[in-house]
Amino acid sequence: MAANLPRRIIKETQRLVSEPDPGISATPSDDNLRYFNVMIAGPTGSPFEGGVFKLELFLTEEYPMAPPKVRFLTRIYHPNIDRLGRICLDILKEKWSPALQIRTVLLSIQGLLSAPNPDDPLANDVADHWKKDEAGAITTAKAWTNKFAMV
Amino acid sequence: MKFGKELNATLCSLPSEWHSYTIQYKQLKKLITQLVLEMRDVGLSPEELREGKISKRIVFENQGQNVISTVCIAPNESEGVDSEKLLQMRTDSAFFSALFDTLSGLSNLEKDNRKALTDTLEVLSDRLLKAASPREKDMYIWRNIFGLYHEASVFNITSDKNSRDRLDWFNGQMRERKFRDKLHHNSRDIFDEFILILTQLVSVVQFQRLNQKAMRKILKKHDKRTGLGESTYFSKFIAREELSLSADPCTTASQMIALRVTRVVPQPEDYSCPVCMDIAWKPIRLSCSHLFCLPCLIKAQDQEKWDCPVCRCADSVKKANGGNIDRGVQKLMQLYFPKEIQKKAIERSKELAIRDYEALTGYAVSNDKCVLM
Repeated sequence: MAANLPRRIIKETQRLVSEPDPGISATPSDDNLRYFNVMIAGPTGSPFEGGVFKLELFLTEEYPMAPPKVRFLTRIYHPNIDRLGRICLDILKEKWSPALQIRTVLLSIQGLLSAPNPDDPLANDVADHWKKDEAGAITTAKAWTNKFAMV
Repeated sequence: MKFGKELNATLCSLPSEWHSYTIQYKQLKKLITQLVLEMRDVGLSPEELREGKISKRIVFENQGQNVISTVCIAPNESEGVDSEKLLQMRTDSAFFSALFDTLSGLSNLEKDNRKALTDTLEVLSDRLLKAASPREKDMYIWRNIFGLYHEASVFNITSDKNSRDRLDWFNGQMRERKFRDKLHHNSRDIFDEFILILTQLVSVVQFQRLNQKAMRKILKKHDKRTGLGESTYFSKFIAREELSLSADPCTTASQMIALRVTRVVPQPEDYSCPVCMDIAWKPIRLSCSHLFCLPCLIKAQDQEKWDCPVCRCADSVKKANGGNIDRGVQKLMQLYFPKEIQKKAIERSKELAIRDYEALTGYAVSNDKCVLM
């Protein structure tokens, strides 16, 4: 069973609530303060604009020495996010640093929505589509946004 | 609300001795109307200028009391004109002379105000240094006061909150928490003076921003009605004239306070470890100059995370050892943060005890209360 919640997690949670970033919300679950329900609004000018994407974020016992586990719950057509919602983002893996925070992670994910990176894909079929026919891929992404991410 | 009215309304809440220094918005507006008539007289059409049919440049000259503006119309080869045509309009020069005169006045006023405030702040700073020193009991109260001052971010103006609202919030917090009453007699005078200076600075900032806005508005109107596009040339002209007008009054004000007042009392946040976000005790300074606490550094080394967590400087963590304890910062922290350090030390020993217990017994420590079976 988890010992006391580390002070860092308490501080981060307080700040996330008191100074939220535009287009991002993260609230801890009532029964597990290490589990966050996250919502990210699709950035303006991206194919995800107008959509609201749900994610889950979990802080393991090793946090902040190990990165948080983050996954999209809303389906999204994006070259760096696969069917299961797993995200290909360096700072969630080998580029993680304990000086990064929940806030910085979520801002990076928001950035990833603005700038998909098909050269470092997680969903290969989507990445291929993106590279061969960007306009078509964007149309699909918009359609998926309309279908899955509208509240 | 029309800007002219807004200007007068805002002025009412500011010291009356400043009123004569304000940008004469109404008068300048009238001059623009006259200028448009004069332009028609000399055959310059604002419509054609606006459409960009005529290419021109503007020259401003400072001739003692007056600013002379010259409109230089580029040669028009299709009409067989091969040299620039120079035009000087009386009302245009009158407009910019009046505006420049006001700006010079404002610049002097700002210089005087700043000098007076700086002098007052210097004295306050010296007194605060004694009153809030670690040897005095008031240090922790002062720290709380300045912590709330930071939280109020008085000089951080956003669209929905202005400095006056934020200062009101800060004053409300002070009353609610009775900080003034908690201070010793000596400190109370300093506190009153601090509040007074903040109130004055808020007015100064409000006045400066009001004039900046008036200037922006009147130049925009000038550009729009005359089509001459003189505002950009005029901005460059004032930059050359080296007026001491602050481009960013909020930052100037908050720096004045930070430099001479709040910095006197160190805040634990300024010495926090970026990993545990708690006070960085004991302070370890890595070769890349970033500061961490010893427990976090040990954890990082245990897990072979060798690079600096902040700048990713290679092997910064790996190379660190006892020699990386920052003795200077350690001394300062002992002096200023005795309570915080003690608390952290207790937490750390608890953490170690749990770790040892778990390693020895193989059981995880739980927070559940003991239960009698």
